[in-house]
Order: sequence, then structure tokens, then C-alpha cells
Amino acid sequence: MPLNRENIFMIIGAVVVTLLQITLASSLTIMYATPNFMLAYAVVVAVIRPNSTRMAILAFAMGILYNLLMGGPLGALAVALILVCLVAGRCMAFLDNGTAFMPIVTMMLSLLVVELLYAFLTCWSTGINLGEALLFRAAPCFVYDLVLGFIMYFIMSRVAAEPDNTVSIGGPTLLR
Amino acid sequence: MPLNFKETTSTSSAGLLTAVLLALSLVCFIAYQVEGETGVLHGAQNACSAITTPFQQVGQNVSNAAGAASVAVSDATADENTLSALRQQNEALRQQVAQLEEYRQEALRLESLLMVKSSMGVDGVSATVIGRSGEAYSQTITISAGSAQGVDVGMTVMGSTGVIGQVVSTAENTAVVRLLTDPQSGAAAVIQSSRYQGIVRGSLDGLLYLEDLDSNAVVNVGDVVLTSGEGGSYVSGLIIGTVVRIDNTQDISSQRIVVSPNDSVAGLQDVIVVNATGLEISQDATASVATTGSGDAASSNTAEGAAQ
Repeated sequence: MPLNRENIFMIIGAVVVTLLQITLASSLTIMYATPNFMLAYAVVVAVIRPNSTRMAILAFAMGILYNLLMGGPLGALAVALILVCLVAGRCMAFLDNGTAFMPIVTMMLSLLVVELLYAFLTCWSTGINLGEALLFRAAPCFVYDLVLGFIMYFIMSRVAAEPDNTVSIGGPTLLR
Repeated sequence: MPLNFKETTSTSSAGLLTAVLLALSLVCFIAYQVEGETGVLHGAQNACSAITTPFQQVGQNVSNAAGAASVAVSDATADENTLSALRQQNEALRQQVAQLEEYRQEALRLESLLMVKSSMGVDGVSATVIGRSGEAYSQTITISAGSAQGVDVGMTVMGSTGVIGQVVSTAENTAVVRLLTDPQSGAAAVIQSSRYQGIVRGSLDGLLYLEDLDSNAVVNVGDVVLTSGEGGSYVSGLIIGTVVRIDNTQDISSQRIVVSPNDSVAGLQDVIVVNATGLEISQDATASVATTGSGDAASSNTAEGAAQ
């Protein structure tokens, strides 16, 4: 992955959300919902910049870092994020119509599926009741991630807007 | 044509990278399950947890400052009714404190007469809460005492009035405590009045459940639940909480007994990592006195026999 401007911004963003997760996540817990800045960031990047190489690396890094720093079964979030970001990126590459509708819908569905997958993997790993996990953790955390996702999407869609209407899909730049 | 060739190669290499990273994640996940608590991945996780402690402390300080500011605003905007109610409550509490001080003095005098140590005395390491878990499925706190202060994995941790959890990992100057309300926690417990034993488990809904009781056990709302010390996981005799609700009382096999913890973690700032309780200290002291006493009795019998 070359160190161009876009990738540097992505790395800086990853560092920022990691620091936010470590310092603020526990303080921002509302009832049972804990924000996951890293998850939301990885999904938003996959939706805005559907570049397979970057997505995979970011999803892997965010997932592994999250479990290393915050706890939980190591590798679980990485598996969920890589799968979902891959599918989200593919969907965006083919269905993007230049409006905000498709990215937002894709982002919402991706966040929901990641939370469901992570809940399933965590319950399988720890023996926690899946029904309770979905009701008391996955659902409220999804709502929280959705709010974070919207905020990040609107910030990043303006900051990371491409200048000449081009899109990169893991290879040479193609003109629309 | 060359453009398509490059495109295919880049796409396939991206796909290969994705597959490799996905496989690596799966390997990590499976290895994490298989290796157990003392494995390499768990060790790496504990090490990273120690690294994040200063950042968590920043967040905790921010949270405490926000809480204090909120209280200050609430106090500043309190109406006259609230203030007069608080004054009355203050006066009642002063009288209560004076009365309790009298009882305390009397208890001290009685203790010294009977030479009995308090059964609730606790010997341990004091620490402050410097961080809380930001992961949705685990309920842990980080405290400011670690292996350098004598804290070890498995030690019981108490708040001001009851057990709150158990140490699960230590660094040199910090330790991570899994709370009783964590769904992966379980404490061997005993009902104080009836002495029936069970296990108190946490859950994702934030409640404590008393499970694995004997089928003949009779449980009533208000029963006090203590740690039993069975299995060596928690120090015995420490208060966990009180039974507040019993669901499905008709069918004993599917009863759900809800225990309200004696100590709330929400505003907790100071904890004790327990080395031993006064009961254990007394038992040790009694054992050593019994050993010395039997020795003295034997020597006095010998002296009496010799005198006769």
C-alpha cells in the first residue's frame, strides 16, 4: 500500500479513532451501549473508498487492535470487519449512483451485520447467551455505531472528496 | 489490453491479500480460544491493556470532571424545598452518627473484654479505580495496584460495602478486575441464614443471578448472600448482596433468583484487594493459640504430676 496522501489521511484517522476509543469509550457508555469508533471508522472508509487492499488492511488492523486494547476474543472483530467491509466495498463499487443514499444504506446495513457477527463470535467464544447478547449489546451498540457512522461519513465525505470524479477499485484509476 | 491485464493482476492481488488477512484473523480467533488464559495471545492482550491504562485514566478524569460539573450545576440550581429537605436530612444524620459512635465505643469495649477480633475485618491492598472497560461484552475495571503491591490473579476485590469482583490479570502497577456483573464471572456463594450454597453469576442485563442451588433450598427475599470460599476462587465470608426478587417461585427447577449487589460500581473510586479476612486471621490465631495452649496444658499437667 503506497504512502500517498489518501493513505496517510486514512492512517491518521485510524490513530485518532483508536485514541478516542481508548480514552472516551468507557466514559460515553449509555445504559448498555458502548461506542465503537474503530468499527464505525472501518465501515465508513469501506463505503467511501471501496479500495479492496486498503479496506482489508484497515479492517484487519482495526479489528485486531480493538480486541488487543479493549478486550474480547482476539480476531473476532477482525473476521467480522473484513467480511463485511469486503462485501460493502463490492456493493458500493457496483451500486454507487453518485448520491448519498446508497453509501448511507450500505453503511447502516454493514454496521448492523458487523455487530451481529461480532455478537455471534463472542457468544460462541465465551458461552454468553446469544439472545441476551443481541438484545442487550448488539442492538444498542448498533444504534450508537450508527450515530458515529453518520458523523464520520459526513466529515469524511467532505474531507476525502476526490477532486476529479474518479474512483479506485483496487487497481488503476478508472474514469467514470 | 495491457490495462486489463494490470487491472486483473491488481484485483487478484487485493483478493489474495484479503483472503490472507481473513485467514490470519480466523487463526488468531481459534488460537485465542484454544490456548487458555496463560497463552501468548492472552499475554499480549494483557500487555496492551497495561499500555492503555494512562489513556483510560485520562478518560476517567474527564468523566469525573464532567460528573462533578453536573453535580455543581444541580446544586447551584436547587430550589428551596430541596435545600430544606437536605437540611432536615443532615440533622437526622448528625444524630444518627452520634448514636452510632456510642455503639462503636461500646463494641470496642466489649471486644477488648472478650478479646474477639471483628469478623468483618479485612486485610488487603487499597487501590483506586483508574479505568473502565470500553468493550461492550466485558465488565472490567483497572485499578492502581499491581504485582509490585502484592496483587495476584484470583484475588477478591471489594468496594466499601461488598464484593465487586476478582483480579484477572496484573501488570507491575495496575491490575484488571472482572466485575461480578460480567457475564463470564461466577462466585461460589452461600445464603447466610440457611447456609445453602450456590453460584452467583453476572449477566448482560446487569443483574446478578444465584444459581445451582440445592433443590431443597428455600430462598426468601431479603436473604443475605456471602462468598463461600468454595473452590478457592473468592475469599469466604464477604458480602455479595441481598436477594431482591425470585422469579417463577412455583417451579423450583426454573427459579431465577436475583441478587442486588451490596456495592455499586457506578461511582466506585476506591477498592480493596483482599489478602485475608478477619475471620481467617482469627481462625489462624485460634489455631496457634490452641497449639500453644495444648503445649502449656501438657507442661502444667507434667508439673502437677511431678508435684504429686
